[in-house]
Amino acid sequence: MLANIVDYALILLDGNGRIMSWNAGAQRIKGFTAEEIVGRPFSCFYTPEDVARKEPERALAVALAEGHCASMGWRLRKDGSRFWADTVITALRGKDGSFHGFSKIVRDVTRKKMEEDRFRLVVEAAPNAMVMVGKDGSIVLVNSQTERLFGYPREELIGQLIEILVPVRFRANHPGLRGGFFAGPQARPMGAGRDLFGLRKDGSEIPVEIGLNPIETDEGTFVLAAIIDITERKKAEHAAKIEAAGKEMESFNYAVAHDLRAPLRKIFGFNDLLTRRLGGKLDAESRACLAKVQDSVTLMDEIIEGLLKLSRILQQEPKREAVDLSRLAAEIAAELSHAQPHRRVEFVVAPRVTVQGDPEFFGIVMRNLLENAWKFTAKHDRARIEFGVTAQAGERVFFVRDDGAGFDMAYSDKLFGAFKRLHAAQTFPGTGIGLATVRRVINRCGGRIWAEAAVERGATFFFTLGAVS
Amino acid sequence: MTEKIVLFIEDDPSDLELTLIALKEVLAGCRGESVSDGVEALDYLLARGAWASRDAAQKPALVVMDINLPRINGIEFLRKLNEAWGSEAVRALPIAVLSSSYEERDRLTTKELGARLFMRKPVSVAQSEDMARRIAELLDAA
Repeated sequence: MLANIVDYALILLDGNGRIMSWNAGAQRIKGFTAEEIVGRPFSCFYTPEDVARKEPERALAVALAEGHCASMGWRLRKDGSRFWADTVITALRGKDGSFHGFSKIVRDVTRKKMEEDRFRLVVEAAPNAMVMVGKDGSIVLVNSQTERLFGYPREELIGQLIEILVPVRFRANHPGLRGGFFAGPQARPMGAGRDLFGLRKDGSEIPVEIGLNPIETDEGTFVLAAIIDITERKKAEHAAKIEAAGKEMESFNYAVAHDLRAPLRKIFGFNDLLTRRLGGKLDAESRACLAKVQDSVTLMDEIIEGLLKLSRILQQEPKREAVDLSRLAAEIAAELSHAQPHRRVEFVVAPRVTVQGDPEFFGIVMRNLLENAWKFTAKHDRARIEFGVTAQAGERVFFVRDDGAGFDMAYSDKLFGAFKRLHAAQTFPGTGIGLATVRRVINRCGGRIWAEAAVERGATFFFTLGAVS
Repeated sequence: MTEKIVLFIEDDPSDLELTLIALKEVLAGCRGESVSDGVEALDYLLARGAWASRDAAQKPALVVMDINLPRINGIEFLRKLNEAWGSEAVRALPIAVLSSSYEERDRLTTKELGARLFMRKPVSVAQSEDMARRIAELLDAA
């Protein structure tokens, strides 16, 4: 019966590896008839490279020591052609343990080997990371894209559980999920509706999309996972979201500007009308009431303007050009002096302080800080306002210093909040948005702002401009 | 000398009232007409619809318009007027845009579409006087 089996070569060898018997399968696979081969050493099937490596001797030694030796490799046919052989050599022993030689079973799996090679080539050539995983969750195959994406050389992945590539916070659930896949394997995207992440060797995470495909082989079911790095797509989505939010903000601002200002215009208009019609007939107190309505209109108009400016800044991408802060300070100082020529204020501006950045941004910063200094020195007969730059820990620190009303440092945390004011409106009028805007602008530039002050001994606002300076 | 017509495009009667009061002296001797949205404004200028009996050749000496208007807003109105008349004819007509808020974008767009003046509706006496002066200049040039 054994003699008629043609799918397998069944060969008996003596203790030295000489061929003792030869079946039809052996003849079919290897091309020799029994007459031609019996008595010759089995090493004649091995390639010269394997013979030189003493592979035949090794196989027998392993079989003798361990009972059997399984191997895969190229073997030679009679005509010199090669085939991929799946071989098991078994040491034959009697009941008493006496050694009688070896049996050798050989199967020609060249076609399967070719298919596997082709499969590996396809996987290797895939544009995405491909990982093949067994039922037990261990990685059996990865391609070079996987090495690149996850930062592991393949030797460090083969044989590991697939969870090595799963962020720790998802690891506990993962074996259950993959068990579920093997229970009803069918091609599908992984984690439908959820954001998936891969864990790289350096500990960083990447957003991924994963397609799962079951692969049936002789060794059972495997899953081939195609992993796509969607970092760029996520970035683009994020940018699109920001842009959409920006657009929405813009139309919101537009509506705010119009809808809040429209009634303001009427309050002004009709109040003005009343003032004109009744002006002569009213007592001073009533006229003062009408004047207060107008003052409120003006203030609210300024507040709306300030808010709009603030929210526009938040959306704007800062420009980068050389800006001469000294010149900017001098211009603003000249404007302020010109508007209130009776004030005796000495401006001291450090020369040639230039920075790289957005001129409009710096204009807002300098204008707000200098106008504040101007405003909070108004109650003093003489005042000194200084713009300059110092260095702290290698960083340029700009400052605007005045010798005016100052403030109590206990409230300094309220200084930069929108609508926070440290002075009563009657003493120093203002919208309460100026410094909030300044801080926003400086934060956008990557800088910081802080202040030092004492009541009636002036205030100094320090700021850095981050990398741009 | 024929009476100068000033066309107001304004949907809010209170706003219109305030503008008329502010421009009282400037508009002396003019005939004011008013429509309340972009569609009516087009009907007026193109002498169609409710204004079909009007002589289309008799153009106003000045148009004072809002931007936020029902149906067809101010910018859309200017666009359609450019389509109907051609940009040269629109430029020949003095148009003053009075908006409740100053938007640089609106200023540029309306200027591009032939408006000669873009300003905020006043919220102070100084602004009100400034508006009256600038509109008087426009009307004098017409």
